[in-house]
Amino acid sequence: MKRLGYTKFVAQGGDWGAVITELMGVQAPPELLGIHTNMPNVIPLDIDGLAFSGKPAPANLSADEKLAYERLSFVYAKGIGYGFQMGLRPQTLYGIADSPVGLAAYFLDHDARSYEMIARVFAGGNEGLTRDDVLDNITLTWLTNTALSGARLYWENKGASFFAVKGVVVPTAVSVFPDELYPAPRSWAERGVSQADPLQQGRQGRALCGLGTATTLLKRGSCGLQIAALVGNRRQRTRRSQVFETLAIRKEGVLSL
Amino acid sequence: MTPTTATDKTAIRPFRVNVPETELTELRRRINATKWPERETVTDASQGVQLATTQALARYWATEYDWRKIEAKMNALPQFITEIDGLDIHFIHVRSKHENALAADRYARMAWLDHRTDEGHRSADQSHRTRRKCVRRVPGRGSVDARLRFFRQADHDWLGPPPTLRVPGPC
Repeated sequence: MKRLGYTKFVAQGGDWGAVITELMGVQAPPELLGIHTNMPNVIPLDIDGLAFSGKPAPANLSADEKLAYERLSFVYAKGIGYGFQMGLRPQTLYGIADSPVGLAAYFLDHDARSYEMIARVFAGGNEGLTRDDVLDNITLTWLTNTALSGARLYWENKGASFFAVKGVVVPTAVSVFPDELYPAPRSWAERGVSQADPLQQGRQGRALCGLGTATTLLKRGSCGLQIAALVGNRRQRTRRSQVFETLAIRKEGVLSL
Repeated sequence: MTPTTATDKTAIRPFRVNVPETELTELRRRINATKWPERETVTDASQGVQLATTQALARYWATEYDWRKIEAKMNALPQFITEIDGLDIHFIHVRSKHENALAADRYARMAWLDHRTDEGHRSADQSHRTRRKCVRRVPGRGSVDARLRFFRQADHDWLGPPPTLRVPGPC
């Protein structure tokens, strides 16, 4: 951003982009006024560990937290087989570099809800997401031969949790959509965000909202980023010294600061 | 490949997508040559991506799908490439039409996305008209070896008007 001539900016991300954006929020360069995410990494560390281990939900969770826990547990138990393969043995995936259909199947197997939607699209359904949208993404990866170099990202992550809190210390807006991997509970999203305002729920959402609900995301993200940036402007001098215990970010909705 | 200095690599260079037709022909050939497994033994997706879905995708991909459409959309955007930490990063940089507002507020927005969106194209259409000079062809650069496929940056008009003092509330 500096090379492009920006002295202040905000950032937005979902999925891996959310992890990257939140880690930017952890590093907190002075130029970064605030962030918005639609995959808020808000899961408390102990809760994330329990879900990963397949343990039942702790008894003290609220209804929203219990729902998020159950969805997260499903993701770990059934949903991210590709993530484990890419994290452990990415180079073994020669098949997806050599076969277009192999690559496409791997792309479609991201998560249950987006798969169901994509299956409906290729069965002739109208979802707002088109066959071209799906194939543009896959074809781009095929033509650039980046299936394996992309897979390596999981290996390079060295097993760090995607969803656990990262410790963001810049003003942050969060969007929560219902079809994301888990609906981030407001209680977890607000933890450590002292100025948290409403965390709004998107009326419809997709795990890959960059594909499915871009308009909604941008409207919400725009609002959230404006607010985050305004807060950042006002707090510019003190922001770095503020201690946000943790910030969580995860799927979609706007957390207005 | 022409040797380049480190300074060259980290320069922000214009970029266009231009996939050779032979690559697209080869892709279709490979799709049509797929060796299919037998159908899953369940009636749901519990064993993974279903054969019927994959075959429907393959049929459309090999017969109707047109890469040139998205290529044209991408090339309507001001694209660039630069090296960051030893890796080529491709990005789209759409400057705001609100230069004054941006300068006054010293305010910009950035997005990391792994997929383009229609909103990006819409704003790009606007930018393209006023900043055609930003889009230049780079012969021989048809692909990007980048793990982060898109690092996209855009300003105000992508996400909304300049930040007037709004009261936080429903968006």
